[in-house]
Amino acid sequence: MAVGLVFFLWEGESYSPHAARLPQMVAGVTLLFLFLDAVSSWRKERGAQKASPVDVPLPKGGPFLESPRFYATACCIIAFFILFPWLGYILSAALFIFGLSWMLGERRWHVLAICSIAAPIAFWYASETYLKIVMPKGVIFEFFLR
Amino acid sequence: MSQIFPFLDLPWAQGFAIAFTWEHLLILIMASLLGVICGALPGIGASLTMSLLIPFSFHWDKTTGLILLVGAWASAVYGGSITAILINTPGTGGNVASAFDGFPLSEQGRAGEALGISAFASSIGGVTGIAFLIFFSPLLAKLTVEFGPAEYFIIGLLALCMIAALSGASLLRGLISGGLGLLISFMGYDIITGELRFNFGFEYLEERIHFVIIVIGVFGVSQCLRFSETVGSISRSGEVKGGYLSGVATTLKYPFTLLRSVLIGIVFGFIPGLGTSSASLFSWTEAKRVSKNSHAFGKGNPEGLVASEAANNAVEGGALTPTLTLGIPGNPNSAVFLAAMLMYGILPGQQLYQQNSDLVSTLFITLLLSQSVFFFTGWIVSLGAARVTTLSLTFLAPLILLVCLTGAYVSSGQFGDVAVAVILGLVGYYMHRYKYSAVCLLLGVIIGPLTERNYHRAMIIYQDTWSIITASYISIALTVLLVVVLIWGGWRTLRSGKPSSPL
Repeated sequence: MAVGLVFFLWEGESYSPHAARLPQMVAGVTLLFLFLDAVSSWRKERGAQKASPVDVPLPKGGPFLESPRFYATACCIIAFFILFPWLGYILSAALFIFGLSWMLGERRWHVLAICSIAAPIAFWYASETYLKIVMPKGVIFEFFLR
Repeated sequence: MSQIFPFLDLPWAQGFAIAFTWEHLLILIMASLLGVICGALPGIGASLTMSLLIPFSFHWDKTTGLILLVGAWASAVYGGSITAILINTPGTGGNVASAFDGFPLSEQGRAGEALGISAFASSIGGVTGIAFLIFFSPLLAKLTVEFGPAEYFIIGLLALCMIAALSGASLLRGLISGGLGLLISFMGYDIITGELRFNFGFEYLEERIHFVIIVIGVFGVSQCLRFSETVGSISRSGEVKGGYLSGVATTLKYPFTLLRSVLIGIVFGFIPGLGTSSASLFSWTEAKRVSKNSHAFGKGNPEGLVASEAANNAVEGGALTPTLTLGIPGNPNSAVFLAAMLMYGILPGQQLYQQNSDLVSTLFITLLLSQSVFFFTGWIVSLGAARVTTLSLTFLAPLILLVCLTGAYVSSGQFGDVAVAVILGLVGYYMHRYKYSAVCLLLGVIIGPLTERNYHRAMIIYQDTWSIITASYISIALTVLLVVVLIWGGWRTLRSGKPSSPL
């Protein structure tokens, strides 16, 4: 968060003082609050350590360790985002649903098939028919159409 | 007398006769059903639903067309609470606060009851808001003129500090989240000077990030990431206890909360720019502050759901007040409605009451009727919807995630929106984990443009000095209130010792 805010402040230097004043003030105050929060958290942790001097081991991998299911979900989202322009909406969404459901432990084939086929088609139909938003067909599909 | 209360001169009998024809009732029911479904879908919302219906409305005469829009509008505002309650993904920004207590109720297996509370509180809020519109619209419209840029700027800061002080996290962390939300809202071109800010070289960031994308990311995607780590179903017991009608009984246990929330909704509605989201968040915060059971807020307290939903729907009546009397839309939904009115050649203001009196009376009756209709259409939808909370998350989490990602894409048709929703989903996930308030971030995003625009205007008027604080008695009072809230919030954080569960 702090690194992001420094970027905000740095970006803010490039424009006129009138327009810059409010965003810079907000970024500065937020940065100050972040510093105060970090100090207060550090003091609280130190106080807690003094109160119980027994070392509490950190979880393996440190504070950023998530469950494998979290990483599976994150990977599937990234894969969907990469495949979306190439395979188009229906195919990439079907693969996304199938892959993620499988990784999360769904093993019933009929559920996997229904969810991964019916849901993308329903969303695609609703978007194109009622919302008039054309969903990407995908580079590969359009190549074969030519 | 009729100068002050123009509703006295309206032909109510004629309005009733027009509104209660079977064609109009059928259109109202169909529009209501459509509104509930569209409102429940993240990324659609009331204004988009109405925009989609405008071309269809031109197939009929202006009265029928406006009935169609009114039916969809009222129901879509309520519909957003269905997904907020069932899957913690608000369908519209105005339903964000409904997720705070609605979703924990679903986790407790009380999804049916929560949907009933939401529908009934929304109906009461909506009916009262419309009644205020009918009786007091010209008087309230005069009051809004007293608020200048300095007052709007201070109101924005006050709302942010108030939510930060009460959102559950520490005041400091609430303010940090709010600051981050403000900075996100500052991205893109400055409205007044045209300067480009915080785009980091990306063309996509030259335009402000759409509010819906932020809601989808911070609430929808981050909730799906948490779902992915959970085994079983949303309802921990795997069953749905309590029905839709028991929600009605529960709502009636909180008459004062209902009344207070409705008043907050009306006030926030008739001040242009404050919006539905701010009203429901503020109402929830106030209910928490006043309640004897404040520690249960955010953990499945029905009172919190009553507060947010009543305010959320009361806003629409309040927002229609400046729309119909001054031609200034109170929120995006009333802006779309105003656009439709203008397309039909109906001009707002005093002449609306004089030249289209039969239309106005029909409109008011339909507005009141629509608030009851969505209670029943919501019932139909909720019969199946509550069962969602008993389904296995192994396939429900991917489906909800796909709805969120599709909703992000559909809102503007850009890949960048999907990427931003995912990034904000991760931000929301870690904010929840490290007890930073996602609500404050969202409120910062909501009030950012309003605050910045009015800051610029106030600085121009008061020649770049801090005399905006002493611009009027209202601004002095608001500044004093702001300082009191900050001191009180700080004292509250110090007294509680450590941050509680964030929202």
